[in-house]
Amino acid sequence: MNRRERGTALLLVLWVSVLLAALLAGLAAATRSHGEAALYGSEQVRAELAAQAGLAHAVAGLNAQARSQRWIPDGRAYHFDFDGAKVTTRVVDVGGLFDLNATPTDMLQRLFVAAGADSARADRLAATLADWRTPPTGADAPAAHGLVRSIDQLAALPGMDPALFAKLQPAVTVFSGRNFPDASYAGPLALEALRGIRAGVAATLVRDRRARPASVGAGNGVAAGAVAGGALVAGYGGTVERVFASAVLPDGTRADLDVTLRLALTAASARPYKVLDWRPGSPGAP
Amino acid sequence: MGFTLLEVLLAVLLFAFVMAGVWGALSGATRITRSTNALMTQSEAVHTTQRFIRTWLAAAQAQPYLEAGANRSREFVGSATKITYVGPLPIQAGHAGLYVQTLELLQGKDGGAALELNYVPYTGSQPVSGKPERHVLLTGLHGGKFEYFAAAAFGKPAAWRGDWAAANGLPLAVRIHLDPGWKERVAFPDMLVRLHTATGIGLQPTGMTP
Repeated sequence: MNRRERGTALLLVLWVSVLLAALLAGLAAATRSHGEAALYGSEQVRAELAAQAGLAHAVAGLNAQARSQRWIPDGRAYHFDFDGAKVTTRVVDVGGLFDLNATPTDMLQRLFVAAGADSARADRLAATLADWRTPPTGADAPAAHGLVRSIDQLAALPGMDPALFAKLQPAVTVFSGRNFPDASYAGPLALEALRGIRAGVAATLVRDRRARPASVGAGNGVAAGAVAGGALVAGYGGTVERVFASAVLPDGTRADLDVTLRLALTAASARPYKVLDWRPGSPGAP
Repeated sequence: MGFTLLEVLLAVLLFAFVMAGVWGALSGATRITRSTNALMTQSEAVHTTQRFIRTWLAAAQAQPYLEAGANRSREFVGSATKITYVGPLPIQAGHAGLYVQTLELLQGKDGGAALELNYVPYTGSQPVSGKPERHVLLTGLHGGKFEYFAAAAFGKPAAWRGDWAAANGLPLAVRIHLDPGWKERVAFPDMLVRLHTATGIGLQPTGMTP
């Protein structure tokens, strides 16, 4: 064979090998990314189930017979490990939240200001919400919808934006029926709006309260105008509680759950609680 | 120097064989790549659909809505191929508030079926209005059916039923069975979605028919 022609077979084989390798590499990459997506999906389910375990854990804690074991629903964090996930659960008694149906307009305005709206916008939003929740009386009240049935409806209020809603949603409810929140359970934002104090002061008061043990009988009758800087004590709450559970897996996969439930009054009940509101993937406890 | 005709012919023949083999290998690899991609796309579609339904149908709320022209409000309406309920949607998608959502199995002209989601903003006690936003979740289906888990009457044990016609209340759970008609070997596992806020008891307009 000619000296120059020697090696063409080798070249050909090399070329074909390179082509095949390229195709296979593409296939392998696609399969791998698909595998990763599937793994992500299953990890996400694991995290969601761990967050639901946090909810069950909270119900058990709220129903604990021994007072020393009983959970305090003032937004303090309870941590536990579940199947490799770090689960953090906070319970807030709905008494510590602003009721969207019962809160007077001036108090709503203070809440919107505390959440970051300027005073004129807060006025407008409060007025819009007041019109919204007026029972409709016919064609003359086109803005009226009647009762606010879910806090998600606040997001659809004219003038609301997602950032403001995200700040407000952990501090509001439709299940308390109170015309102002109870400072014993309120989060920093609600306390700031309730007492008209600075955000830093409210945060310190709430942090100190969450570090203190609860007191039996506390959490009732703490008036809106109580001493602005006075120390707070939490009680053991009522029967309607909002539970924020978040689960984080070692690889960083995260799931959040925000559930409002009513605890059964009798321990022998077939269902220890009834879910009033179930909001998936809603991060951020007060 | 040089080659005889026979040598050249033989060389060409050999080369042709080699090239045929190479072409076969390449086209085989391409076919595998293509079918694997189709398989992955299909299973991705199934995963996404199941994930959406599992999260957001489960968050359905017992809120009364009024269909335009209807004389009484409903909270949840279910038939073998259609579910209508009120619930939130993922906020990342730019949605705000509650929506009247409908999951429907629609028969196409070609005999295939598609699973569609459509939704309109929830308007409380005002009748539902506005053009619904439509999304096709899955295509290439043969068919399927929806079932509802609920008690026939207060105190009775819950059982599966083919529809939910109650004026109020939600069934405890919904079962979604779909028959895939696509050629990829991707299954649609039966889904059992628990409706978290449900009581499983509702006032049936024409009496309870389990």
